[in-house]
Amino acid sequence: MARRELKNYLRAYRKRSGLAQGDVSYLVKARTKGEWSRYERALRQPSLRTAFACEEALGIPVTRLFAGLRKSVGDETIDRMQRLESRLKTTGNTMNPARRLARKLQWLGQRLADRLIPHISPA
Amino acid sequence: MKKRKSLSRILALDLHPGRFGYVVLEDSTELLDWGVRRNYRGIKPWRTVLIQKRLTSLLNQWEPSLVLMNEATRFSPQIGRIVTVIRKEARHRRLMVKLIGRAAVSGTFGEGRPIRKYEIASLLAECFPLLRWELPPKRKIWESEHYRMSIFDAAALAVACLKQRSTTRDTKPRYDAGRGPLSPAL
Repeated sequence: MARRELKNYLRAYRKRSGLAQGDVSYLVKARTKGEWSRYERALRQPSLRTAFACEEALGIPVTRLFAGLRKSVGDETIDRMQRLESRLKTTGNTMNPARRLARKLQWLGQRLADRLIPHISPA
Repeated sequence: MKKRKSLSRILALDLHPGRFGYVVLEDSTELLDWGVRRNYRGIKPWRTVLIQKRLTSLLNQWEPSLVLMNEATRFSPQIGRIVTVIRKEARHRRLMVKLIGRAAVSGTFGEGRPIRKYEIASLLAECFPLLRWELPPKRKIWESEHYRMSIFDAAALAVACLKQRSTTRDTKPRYDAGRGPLSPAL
């Protein structure tokens, strides 16, 4: 069974640092510690600015702090890429010339291959 | 052979009337959260409701796959009510609930000899350095137990459960040797 990532790990990393909610809310420039608490409980999503501030304050990359959110957004985007690819293949795009369509399909194919097929090291 | 479920997150609870200590472990070794939730306000049935509220918020936040509780031979009625509430909530969320007895905990840490609670807490503080600063001073004979000892009792439950799982796994044929769930330096 694969591990189901939590939406965010803000509370876990804050507790590791020993900082209180009030301290971190000051560091990331949140209005109140209540606001920070809502971020921790995933009731609210922080702005991009606050997310970067969290990364700086806690010393953990944003992708790790918001691991579950990152994964769900990534999966959703891949799903949409697959749907766009199949739509372009079946209906084509009458507005764009053939070369542009080919480029789009090539790009989507590459991205999907990168994402879906695990990388094999050259060694 | 019955297939074992892997435990992504474990919530261990040390129940007391009016409060509970908790520890959340991820991947059997990584400590995510710990603390004590207390409520001594209000009349007794109402206290249970508030404790339930605090417990629900924990379950919502950490989405554990297993809930561990301390098994007492004689629960107080209030703890009995809390245990019922936890069982109901776990059934609703389809979580596994396991009771760990005191003998299992002392067996894990004492290795046959009797061991004191404070010694177990000290061992756990060595295992999990994040808990080191939560360790209360040693209790004098005339003092009551420090509330933070609940955190260590909960952590002891989690470690005992993981040790039980690893030993039962060891007795069965292993296909993924060397990838045991926990190897704390006890």
